[in-house]
Amino acid sequence: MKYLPGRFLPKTLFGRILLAMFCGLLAVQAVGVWLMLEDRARFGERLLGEYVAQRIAGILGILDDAQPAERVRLVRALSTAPIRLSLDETWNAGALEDSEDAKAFMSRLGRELERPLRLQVLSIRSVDRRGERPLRDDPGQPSRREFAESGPPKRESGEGGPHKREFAEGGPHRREFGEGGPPDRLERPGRGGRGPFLVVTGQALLTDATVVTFRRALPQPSLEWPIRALVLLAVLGLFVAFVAGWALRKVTRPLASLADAASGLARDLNRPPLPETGPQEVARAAQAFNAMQKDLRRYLETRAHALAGVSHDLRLPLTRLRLRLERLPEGELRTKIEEDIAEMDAMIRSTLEYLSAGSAAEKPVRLNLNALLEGVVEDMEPLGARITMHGEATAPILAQPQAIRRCLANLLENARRYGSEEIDLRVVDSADAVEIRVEDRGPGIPEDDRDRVFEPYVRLEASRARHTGGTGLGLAIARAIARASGGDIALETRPGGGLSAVLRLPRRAEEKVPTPETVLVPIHKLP
Amino acid sequence: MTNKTLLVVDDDAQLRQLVREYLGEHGYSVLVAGDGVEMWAEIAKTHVDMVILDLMLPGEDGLALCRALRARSAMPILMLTARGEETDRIVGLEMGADDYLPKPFSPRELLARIKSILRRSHDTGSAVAPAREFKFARWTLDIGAHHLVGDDGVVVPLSTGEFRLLKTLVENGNRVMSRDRLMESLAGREAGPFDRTIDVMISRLRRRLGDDAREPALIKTVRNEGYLLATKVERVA
Repeated sequence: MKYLPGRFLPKTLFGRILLAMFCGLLAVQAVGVWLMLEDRARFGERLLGEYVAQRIAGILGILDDAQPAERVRLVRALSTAPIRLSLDETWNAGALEDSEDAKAFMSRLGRELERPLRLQVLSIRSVDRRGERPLRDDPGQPSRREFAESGPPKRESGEGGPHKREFAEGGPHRREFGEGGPPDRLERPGRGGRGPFLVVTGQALLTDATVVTFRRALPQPSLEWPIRALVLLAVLGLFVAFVAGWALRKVTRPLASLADAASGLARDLNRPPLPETGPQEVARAAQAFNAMQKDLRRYLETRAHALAGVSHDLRLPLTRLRLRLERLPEGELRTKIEEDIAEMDAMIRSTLEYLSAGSAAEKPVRLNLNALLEGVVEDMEPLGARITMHGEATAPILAQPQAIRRCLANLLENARRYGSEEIDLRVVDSADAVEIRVEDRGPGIPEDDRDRVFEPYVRLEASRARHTGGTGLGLAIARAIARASGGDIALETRPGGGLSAVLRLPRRAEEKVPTPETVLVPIHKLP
Repeated sequence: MTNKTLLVVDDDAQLRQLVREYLGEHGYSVLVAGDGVEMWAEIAKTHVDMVILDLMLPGEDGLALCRALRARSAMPILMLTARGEETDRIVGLEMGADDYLPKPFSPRELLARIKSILRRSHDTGSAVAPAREFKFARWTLDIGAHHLVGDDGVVVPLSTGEFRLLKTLVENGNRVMSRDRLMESLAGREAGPFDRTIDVMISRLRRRLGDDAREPALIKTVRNEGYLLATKVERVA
């Protein structure tokens, strides 16, 4: 199964670390906010519950002590917001609030009373501030914890519609709290910045059987500050994300240049060393890379020296041999020896060419590829090849002229030697690369052997190849050159029979947008 | 052609001896030197017409000697090298060598090169160093690298034939070159069967140079005589 989130993950290290940090930060903030609010809410509730219970217990004590006539006056005097008192209502033994909150409130109230009175809680409701109109049809459920003295908030799953509505109003980030079960009221954005009030309605049966009905409106203690805190936290989060992003960018940029350097190394071993700055790990990577580049360069220099030595040491006796041969009378023996010398010379030369293919000795220049192709074709034709050119390059290409010439000459020579004398040379130019196809009508090469023929000294038909004078390095040299130029050579079956060698030379970034004066006018289209 | 004095500088004693014998048989008087110090000593002692200089020498190497020699005189220099890399040839010619021969050369090739260089230096009066490039119109002909460079920096490679033909025309700027003379330049070295006629090659060269085939401005046709490069040529040594 496919790991689906991978598709949505940022591609860069920078993006991924930033995302992870941001998510972590968000989670930490969410938990922090939740814990803080929870704590505050519980504290506020307890304080408020105790205070309210004490007040009501006090009032009930006074009323119980008072004479009935005085009681009416007292009720009127004490019945000021947030408490309403009434003596007119009958003892309602009907539908009572029997939630845990109500029981907790009653027991606390009972403890605060000087002498025991019968108590009952009629309802605990959420109401709008102004009209004291009940907000919920089901008052008990959402708010029943309001007067709980202690214990973690209990929350039953599957609570009704109001929550969903609230979350929708609260904006997406509020969802973080959804599963954690914070107090409902904290979730509520409220109207005009204030949430609903809670109104507890209860009754007490005084000693003389007078029924006192009390209604206490409780302001929500923490209705406004969550929004302020959340905005503050959001600002803090953004700030941290910004700082982290900036720091991360500083860390990952050297990595990007390290990658660039690594991919450019094959093309240019003499590129300037990377700056060894940045965090320790990155600086060490850059140091290691620079050391590797130096080692590679030294290794290649040593190899080049050794090569020059070997070739010198081999060519010197061959030269002497040739001079000594002049002493021999002309004849078959002398001709044969001269041929042997020539063959050895060719082998040394192509071995050196193979080993030095792609060396940085030759500078890449902006090259008129069409002229080069025509030149190679012209030089090849005296050898018995009939080459037809199709297409052309539309702009100069950045390349090493001698190397590319050698590469093409080898491909053409291979086509002539093992393919057919009729050769088609096709050029297809595009913005990304120039493709040069050398197509013959020869027997072709079986698909399984196509990679093998690029290996040095591999000839498919050894006897025939030696007969025709090949060194077994032509294609190996051609491919080494192509790869050193950032391209490659592939062998394909030519439709209609024969082999098609495809040389692909990428256009490098710096030459992709030619300025008007560098655009190459196709040679045959010139006035 | 005879009685010319050649100085062969090579660190291999046997090779020096073989070359000395071979060239001696062909009428040259040959001096030998094993390194730069001996070379300078020989030059100070005797008049030398031409130096045959190996690239790899103990002490000061052939390139440095070539440059030092060129700084003093226009004496013809033939470079020999066993490295045989294309870049060596270009560098050698840039250092002021008149020609370059990779080892293992055939003795006859050596002889042919010596003759050709001596003839050329005789023609030009031994006074001028060989040209490294020729500038004409918007082009530069690079003698070492065998290619043209346009004023926009684009390199236009030339086939062997194109290069020799253009070199002959450029060396003789504003002088009419007969078809025979041009043919001769083509057949110079590695004489191959050039099946293209001079006219076909001239028209190809015109295309390379961006010259109008019907009204050529650079390579003009002189009826019944031949061709000439009708532009100012600047020689860069």
